[in-house]
Amino acid sequence: MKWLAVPALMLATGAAVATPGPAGPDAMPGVANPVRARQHWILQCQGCHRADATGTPQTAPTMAGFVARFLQVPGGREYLARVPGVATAALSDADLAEVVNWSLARFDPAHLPADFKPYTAAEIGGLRSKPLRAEASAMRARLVAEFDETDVTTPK
Amino acid sequence: MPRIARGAIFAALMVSASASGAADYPQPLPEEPVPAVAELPEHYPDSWVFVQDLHFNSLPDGRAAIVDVGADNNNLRGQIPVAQFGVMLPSTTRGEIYVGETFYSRLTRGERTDVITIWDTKTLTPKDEIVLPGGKRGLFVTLRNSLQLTNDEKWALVFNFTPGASVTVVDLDGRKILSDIELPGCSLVYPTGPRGFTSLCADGTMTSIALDAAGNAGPAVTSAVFNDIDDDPLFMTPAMVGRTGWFVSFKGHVRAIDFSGAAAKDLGSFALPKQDGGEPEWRPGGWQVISADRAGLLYILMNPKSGEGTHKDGGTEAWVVDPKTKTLVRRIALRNHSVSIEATQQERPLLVASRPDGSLDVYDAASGAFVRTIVSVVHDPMTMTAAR
Amino acid sequence: MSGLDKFSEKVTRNVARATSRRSLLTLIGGALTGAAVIPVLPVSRAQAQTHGGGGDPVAPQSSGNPQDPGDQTKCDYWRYCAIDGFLCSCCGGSPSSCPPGTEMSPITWIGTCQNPADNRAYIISYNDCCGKSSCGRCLCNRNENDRPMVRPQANNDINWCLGTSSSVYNCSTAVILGVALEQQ
Repeated sequence: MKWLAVPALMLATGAAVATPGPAGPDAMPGVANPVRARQHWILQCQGCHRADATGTPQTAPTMAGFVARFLQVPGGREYLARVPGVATAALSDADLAEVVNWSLARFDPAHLPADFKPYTAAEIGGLRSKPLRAEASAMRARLVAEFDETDVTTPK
Repeated sequence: MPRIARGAIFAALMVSASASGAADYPQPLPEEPVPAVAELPEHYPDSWVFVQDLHFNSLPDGRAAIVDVGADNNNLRGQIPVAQFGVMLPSTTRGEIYVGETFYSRLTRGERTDVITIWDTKTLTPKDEIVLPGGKRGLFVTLRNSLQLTNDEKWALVFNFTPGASVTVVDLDGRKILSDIELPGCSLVYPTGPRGFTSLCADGTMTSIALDAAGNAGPAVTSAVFNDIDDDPLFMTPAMVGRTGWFVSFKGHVRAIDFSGAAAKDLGSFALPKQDGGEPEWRPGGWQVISADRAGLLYILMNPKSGEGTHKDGGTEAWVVDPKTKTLVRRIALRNHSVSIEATQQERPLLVASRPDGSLDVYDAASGAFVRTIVSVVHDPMTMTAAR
Repeated sequence: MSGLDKFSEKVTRNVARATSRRSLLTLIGGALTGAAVIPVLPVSRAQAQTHGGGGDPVAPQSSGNPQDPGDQTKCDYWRYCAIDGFLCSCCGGSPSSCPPGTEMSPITWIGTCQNPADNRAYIISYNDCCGKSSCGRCLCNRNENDRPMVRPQANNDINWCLGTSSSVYNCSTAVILGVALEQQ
């Protein structure tokens, strides 16, 4: 199955005691430890979003090749931190900021704005304290409508 | 024992009957009409309990048994299907039972149909159905709060899980879907106010949504954090006393939520009194672990060998708690390890404890005295709902 | 939010937690978790049926690899530390594959389990197999760190046959996704 083939095993690089070295700061902005970020993705997000962050309208929305576009429209940055799957994840503010930054760089680098400033723990902490509820889907629809309609990568 | 005496008389009658002849009975037994099908009263007596069967060994064939726990015999009065992680909900104001269930056109494959089936209480035949859109009804081990009523029982609320969370509002009279309200990050439905619901949310808050006259979502109100999901989460099924929901937590804190207003209100919590004899300690355990009688006393299924991960292990005692005085009134030692408990709404209530083998043990709630066992009622007795 | 910070701290510390997903009668389950066992637990009729308590046990199966030790038809096999449901090993599949003709759910619950042979914590994905009715063999369930439906991603009562052509539940696998980082 496709999801099994995903390079999920990169992380299995040896003894569990190995402490992974941080990547260069330019590689993934706001990700101090990509291996840790990836593990948090797997344990907290992947179950619903799948290993490659593809989704379906029936299950969890597609993130791959799409999610960083929210950063291109007003309100999108706040939306990504307040959407319930993010806001209510069982992670500290710092770990959550890291995994959000990691997800953006990992699954949609093409749409990451050149001037992207990574989420900080403080910013995430403030935004997640007001998680979206019933308004989440309407807000998402409004933001997506503002994406460039001509962009062929926009899923319907 | 009266039962033994009665048995002896019965045996004696058998003997004398076999020893005597037609002369003793000039008239033969009457002929019996065929077909003959039993009927039930439209409104069930308050000694009756709906026992839902998850039927884990054959999930597409779940069902519910309607059981008179107050009778000496003829206890199982009828059954209705509750298919595929289904949930059943009796109306208290009209002679109907609502069942949220899921079917595939070829049993395990083909086209999925989610539906609310409406059963007639008197005949236990299906009166009608309302098809639910989207094939998204939440499928999990039965929780009563995945299907509830609001708006004077004229509307049904269905909890959906895809894993996105949403609530479908259904007009039972008009047999139509009114709205679909996405509520990501929140779970289940607790009827709130005259027309609306509350859901418990993953950040430990709850969100209440009032519905307008057309069934659309109106104002939403989110509470402060009160549910410590990591350390001491609430069991999802409350005991309802009027519009107050009494929840109990894994570690034995009892919390009241007032659902009478448009926005649910946390009324605070208290700890169950510590009791000796636990190894290491007593905590609530089981599936449906809390119930209430008409007087508002709470019954909580307790497990003496509790720690992390024991919350579904069932229990060996039912603790009777008076929430007004926050005191433990009585400890009822159960004859068998039990999965779920439910108190009847009788003047003198009975306490029903379901066993993993699908049998029910019935106790006098006021004294704790064992009354009877009703064997093999269902396969997997997860939830019970007393007639009201 | 202080509540969140508190629980996330704990979650981070407990990387190798054993959590389960779908469950059931489970309630009844409980019985397998070593120290936490309640002997009187009724314990599952199902448990008894499939694990020798009330009849003959399922014939043992092993991987044949000493680094992957244990009986894959038993609940105490190391990968099943967070499993809940019928073991696919007893149903025509294996710990990491579904029985013939079923469909593996792409949406699932993911946890970690400690391998006693190499002492590594592995990330395990508990994908359900879907599209045929309940297997009925080797029911297994543990509830350590299971949380109620209010936190679905840590709840084993949910039928994770989501995103499949049929949501009918058959059995559960325990697939290795990789090695977990050391607990921090």
